[in-house]
Amino acid sequence: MTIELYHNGMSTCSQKVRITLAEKGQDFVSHHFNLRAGDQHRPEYIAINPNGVVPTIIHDGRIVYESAVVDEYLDDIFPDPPLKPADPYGRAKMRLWVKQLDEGLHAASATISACIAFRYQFMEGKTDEELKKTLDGYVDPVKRERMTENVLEGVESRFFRPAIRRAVKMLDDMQASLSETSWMAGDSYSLADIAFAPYVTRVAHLQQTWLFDQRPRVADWLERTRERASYQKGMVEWFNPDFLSLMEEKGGENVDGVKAVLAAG
Amino acid sequence: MLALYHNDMSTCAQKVRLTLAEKGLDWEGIHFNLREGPQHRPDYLKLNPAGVVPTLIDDGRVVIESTVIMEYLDDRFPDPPLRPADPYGKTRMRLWMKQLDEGLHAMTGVLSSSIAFRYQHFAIKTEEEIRRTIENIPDPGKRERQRENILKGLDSKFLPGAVRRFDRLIGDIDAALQEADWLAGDGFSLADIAYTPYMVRLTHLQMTWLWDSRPRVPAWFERIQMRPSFQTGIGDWLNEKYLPLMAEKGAEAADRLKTMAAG
Repeated sequence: MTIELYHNGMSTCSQKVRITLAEKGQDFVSHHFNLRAGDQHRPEYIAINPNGVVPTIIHDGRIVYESAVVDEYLDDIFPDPPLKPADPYGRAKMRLWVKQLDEGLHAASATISACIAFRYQFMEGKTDEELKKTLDGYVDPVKRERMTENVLEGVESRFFRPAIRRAVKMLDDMQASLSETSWMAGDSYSLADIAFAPYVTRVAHLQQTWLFDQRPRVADWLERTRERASYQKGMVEWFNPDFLSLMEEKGGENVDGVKAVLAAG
Repeated sequence: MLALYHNDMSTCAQKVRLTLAEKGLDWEGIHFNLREGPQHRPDYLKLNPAGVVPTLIDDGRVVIESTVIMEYLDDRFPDPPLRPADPYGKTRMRLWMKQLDEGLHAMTGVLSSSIAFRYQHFAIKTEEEIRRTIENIPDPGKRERQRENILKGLDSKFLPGAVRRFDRLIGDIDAALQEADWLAGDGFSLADIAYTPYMVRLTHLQMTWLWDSRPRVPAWFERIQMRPSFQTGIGDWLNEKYLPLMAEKGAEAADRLKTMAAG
């Protein structure tokens, strides 16, 4: 049974699903979307995924979307190797981590990325009118408002400060948890580790690795995560070099700016 | 032994009590009066850093967040199962539950506060005291929502969006019930449990007009209310101090809310 995957190379939610597929040894038919060109807002895709976001998988004729839901589905369908802790309490810990992404952490990461780096991609070569048209394409009104301000205002956006503070809290929580167990939901690697790998990687891509200095458990976890074959296959092989160089350049320029925002409390 | 920190009218506590009742589990309750703020005390924050109910304690293990607690209970006490047996059914169940965490739950707070609960604050505090309490809320998003909802009531800028979101939700529920008897398929599941408290709240706020033209929704809600779990998980805990206020203020607001839904 083939798995079709609608995704994007640098999308954190697509990364989660590709890592899971790699851990499970599953190949997929790739439908790679250019999100800056708005592929995800086309009517034929909205018919599959009404939220107009990636990823979506089609497996055995069934459509499954929302990365947290897709990852649990893949673990249910392909139980070997298991990516959920065997005990109910471990599963609760795993789900508590994953849920935080849906409740604001994912949005915070998108805001940080946009304000520091991706805003330049949105603006490049576009007239004001074209830019407005792209931003107006977001289906969700809350996301539309946020992205519009983030693209136009950068780190001055009123959404940036709470977003970067939320990301720092994520690293603090990870540091505390990884001081007790080797992986996030216990002593085995799980969907929680998969779900957070893209976000911690993003912090590194945006040149904010100074945040790891006081959080050595997080740095060590990222190192161990990167050593897994699934990281190579699900993340690295899909990295877009243009994105990496932009994040490196703009992230480097903004290190002091980010430190200043955090120091201001 | 299971212990549950909860509150009678809290929607998230209702979900967990319904699940416990469906499983036929006994539990010991620690009931919080949320208006007095015991959920913000340091000893409780150690269990539940967000300072919200419910929190489940199972043999010394602390489990928080209602959707996580519900799946935990189904993992820990698998009989009777409250998740679809097939993986695809589970995805449908989880898509429903996730929507609550992504905004619907917060919007229920908008409806309840701006239509009715704001009057509870005005009954015991001056406007100056209320303003001061609001400015002390640490989370800026929640602070802004409460400022609008409590001080402005039906003029809260968050209310029209919340009303429209619930109108869409009821439409989505109606569409799902066209395909199957329950939200995630042909079996009653955690998804049905998760939405029951919100149906109850909309009913208390006199917003049953949302399903006037969607007959599958009240039929489904009727079937839920006939389950014994509804009585022990929700019915037995209804707070008589809240119901007349919601009925009175909900009725007064109905016409304006309908206009918002149509906008």
